[in-house]
Amino acid sequence: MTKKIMVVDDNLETIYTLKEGLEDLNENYSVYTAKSGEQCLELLKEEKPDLILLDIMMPGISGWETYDKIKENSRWQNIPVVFLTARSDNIAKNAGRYLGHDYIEKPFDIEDLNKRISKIIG
Amino acid sequence: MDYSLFIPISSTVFTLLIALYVLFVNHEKKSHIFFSLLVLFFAVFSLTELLVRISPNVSTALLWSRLCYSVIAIAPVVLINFLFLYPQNILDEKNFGLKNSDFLKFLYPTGVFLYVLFNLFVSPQNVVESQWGYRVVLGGVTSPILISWFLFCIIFATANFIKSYYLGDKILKKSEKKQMRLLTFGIIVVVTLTTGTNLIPPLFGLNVFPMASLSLLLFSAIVGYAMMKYGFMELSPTETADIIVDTMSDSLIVTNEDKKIVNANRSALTLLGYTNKELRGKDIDKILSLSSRRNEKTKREKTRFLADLLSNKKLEGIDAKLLTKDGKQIPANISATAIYDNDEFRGILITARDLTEIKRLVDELKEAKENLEEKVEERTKNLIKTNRELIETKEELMDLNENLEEKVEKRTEQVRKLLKQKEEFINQLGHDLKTPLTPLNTLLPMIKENVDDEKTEERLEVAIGCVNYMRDLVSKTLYLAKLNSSEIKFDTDEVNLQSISKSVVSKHQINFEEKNLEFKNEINKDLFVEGDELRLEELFDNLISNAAKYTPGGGKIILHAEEQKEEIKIAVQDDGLGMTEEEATRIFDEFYKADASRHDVNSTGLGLTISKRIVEEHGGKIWAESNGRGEGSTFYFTLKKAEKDKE
Repeated sequence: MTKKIMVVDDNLETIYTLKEGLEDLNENYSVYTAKSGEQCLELLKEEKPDLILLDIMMPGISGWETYDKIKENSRWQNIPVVFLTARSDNIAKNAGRYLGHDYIEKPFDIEDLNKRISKIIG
Repeated sequence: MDYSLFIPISSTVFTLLIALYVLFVNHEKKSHIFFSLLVLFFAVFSLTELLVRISPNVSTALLWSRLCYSVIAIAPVVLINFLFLYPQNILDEKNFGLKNSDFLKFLYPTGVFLYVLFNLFVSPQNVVESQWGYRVVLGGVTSPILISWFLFCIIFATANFIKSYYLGDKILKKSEKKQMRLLTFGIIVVVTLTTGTNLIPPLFGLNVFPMASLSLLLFSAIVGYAMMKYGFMELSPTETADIIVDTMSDSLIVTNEDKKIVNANRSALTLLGYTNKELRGKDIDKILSLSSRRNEKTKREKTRFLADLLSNKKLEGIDAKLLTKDGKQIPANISATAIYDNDEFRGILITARDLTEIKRLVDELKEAKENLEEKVEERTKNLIKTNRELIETKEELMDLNENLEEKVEKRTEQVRKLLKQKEEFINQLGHDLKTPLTPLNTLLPMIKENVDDEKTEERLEVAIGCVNYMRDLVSKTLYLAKLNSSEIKFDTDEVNLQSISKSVVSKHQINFEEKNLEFKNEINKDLFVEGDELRLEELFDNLISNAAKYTPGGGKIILHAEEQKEEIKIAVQDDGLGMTEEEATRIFDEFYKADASRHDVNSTGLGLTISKRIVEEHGGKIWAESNGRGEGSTFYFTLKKAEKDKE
C-alpha cells in the first residue's frame, strides 16, 4: 500500500533529495512536496498525507505556525509530523511546546530518516 | 728701786684705761659694759699682783690675795647677772625657762661658794717668795691670773652660746665672726704665755719672773682692739628685730596715722627700688594701689579698705599692686594691721608678698590653656573640613559608582547582545551550511550505488569523504559554539564511570577490530563521578576515538581510573604517534593538529577542544603527556567524585 509523504521545505535541493532518496529506498512511498507553509496548507485541503516532514525555518509562515494550523484542523490533526531542522537550538527553545515530537536534524542520513519514518507509518 | 715692778704697775694702769675706754668710747651700745667690767676685773688682778709682791711679809700678801679673790668671787656673779639681766628684753623672759629671781637665787650662793673655794687656796703654803717678792701660786701658776682666765673663759663662752643660740650663727655679721676669732686667738696666746712663763723656769731651778699681769694687759689690749675695730657684740633688741625684719622675704611698710610711710624693711626697699630716705614721708597710696583697673572702683575700695581696717584692725590676703620707683606695677598680696597706741590710731603696718612670679606662672598657664583651646579649635575645624571633604568625595564616588554601574550594565547588555548576535550568526551559518550538505550527503551515495565505472566510483568516494568531513566540521563547530554559549545547561547526576566507558567502547568495538587494536578497560565498577552523562559520553568518545585514530594497527589502548582525594583521575593511554612537550600544551587549542602527518587522518581538530570545554565545565582539568614522538601518549582528566561515593 502506498504511503503518501508530504515534504514541506523552502529549499528545492532538500525537497528533491528527500523525494529521490525516500522513493528510492522504499517503493511504497509517494513523496509530494510543498515549498512553503501556505502551500502545505493548500495541498492538505486537496489530499491528506500519511506523514508530513516539516521544515521549521521558512519564509512566510514558519514550520511552527504551520504545525499549529494543521493541529487546529480536526481533519488533519492526527497526521504525524516530523520536524526537519538545521538548527537544533530551535527545537530546544520550543521544547516546552513541542516536546515529544519527532525531529530530524539536518544534515540527515537518509537511511536513518527512512527507518524513523517506517517506524511511524509502518 | 725694783724696775720689775713696772710690769704690774703699768699693767694695772693700762688695763684700767682700756676698761674705761671700752666703757665710754661708744656709750650708745650697752654690751660693751660687759666687756668693760671684765677688763676692770683684770685691772684688779694686776693690782693684786703688785700689792702681793711688795708686801712686807707673808700675812700681808695673804691679805691682798684674799681681797683679790673676794673680788673674783663677786665677778662672775656680777657679770653673769649682768649678762642675763641685760639681754632679757630680747630673750623675752625665755631665760631657759628660768625667771630672773631664779638666777639670783642661783648666782649668789655660787658667789659665796667661789669665795670659799678660792680662799682655800690662799694659804701660807701657796705663797712663794723670791728675789722679786711674794707670789701666790696655784699649781705652780700665779693664782689670780689663772683664776681670772678661768673666769673669762667661762663668761666669754656663755655669752657666745647665748648669742648664737638665739640669733643663729648666720645672723652674726662677718665682722663679728672676725672679732670672735680674734678674741679666741688672744685667749690661746695669753694662756699659753702665762702658763709657760710660770711653769718652765721652775723646771730649771729658776725663780718665776713675776710678769703675769703683763698677760692680762696683753689680753685687755686685744679686747680693746677687737672692740674698736669690729664694734661690740650687739645684742640690742631693736637691732635684732631689725635683723629679723630686714631678712624676711616679705615687704614690710609702716605708716603713720596720715598714711605717710615712716619705715620699710630691706625687702620692701629692694622691691620698690627706693632708698629708705626716699620712701619716708611718701603717701602709701603712691606706692600701693588696690587691685582694680577702674579708678572709681579703686577709690571706693580704698575707702572701704581703710574703714575695714579701722573697724577690724586687721585685713589679710588682699590683692594689690605695688608701684615701683621706675613706674612698674608689681602684683602683690597684702595684709594690713592698724597700729593702736592706747586706743589711738597711730598708723598702719603693711606686709606685702610679691606675686610677680606666681602671676607669671598663672599667666603662662592661662596662655598655655588658651593656646591649647586654639589648637583644639583649629584641629576641630580641620577635622570638620576633612570630614566634609570626605563626604563630598564619598558622594562623588557614589555618583561615579552609579555611573559606572550604569555603564557596566549598559556595556554588559551590549556585550550580551553582541554575543547573542554572534550565536545567532553561528546558528544561522550552521543552518545555511547544513542545508546544502543534506542533498550532497544523500544523493552522492545514491549515485555511487548506481555507478558501474570504477573510476567514477573512486572519484565519488573522495567526494563523499569530503562531504562527511565537512558535515563533521560544521556540526562540531556548532557544538563547540553551543558549549561556549551561555544557554547550555548541564544536568548533573551521578555517573558510573565503568558503565559509561563500556557503552562508549562498544561503539568503537568495530573500529578496534578493524585496526586490530588491543583495548583494555581497567576502570572499577564502583567509581562514581558528578556530571552530565551525555557530555561525559561525548568526552570519552572523543578521547577513545582519538586514541584509536592515532594508534597504528596492532597497538594497545588502556583506559584507567584512579581515585584521589576529592576527584577521580582518568587516563586514556595509547602507544600511538605520541607528541612533543610543546605539542602537548597546544593540542587542546581549536583546530590544532600536532603535525601535518595527521591531516591524512580524517579529523576536524575540534574533538580535544570540545573535550577540554566539557572537563572544565565539570570543574576538572585535562592534560596530555607523552614521552615524545612515537612514544605513545596519555590523556588525563579529572572529575569530581560523586557525593554518594564519599558517604
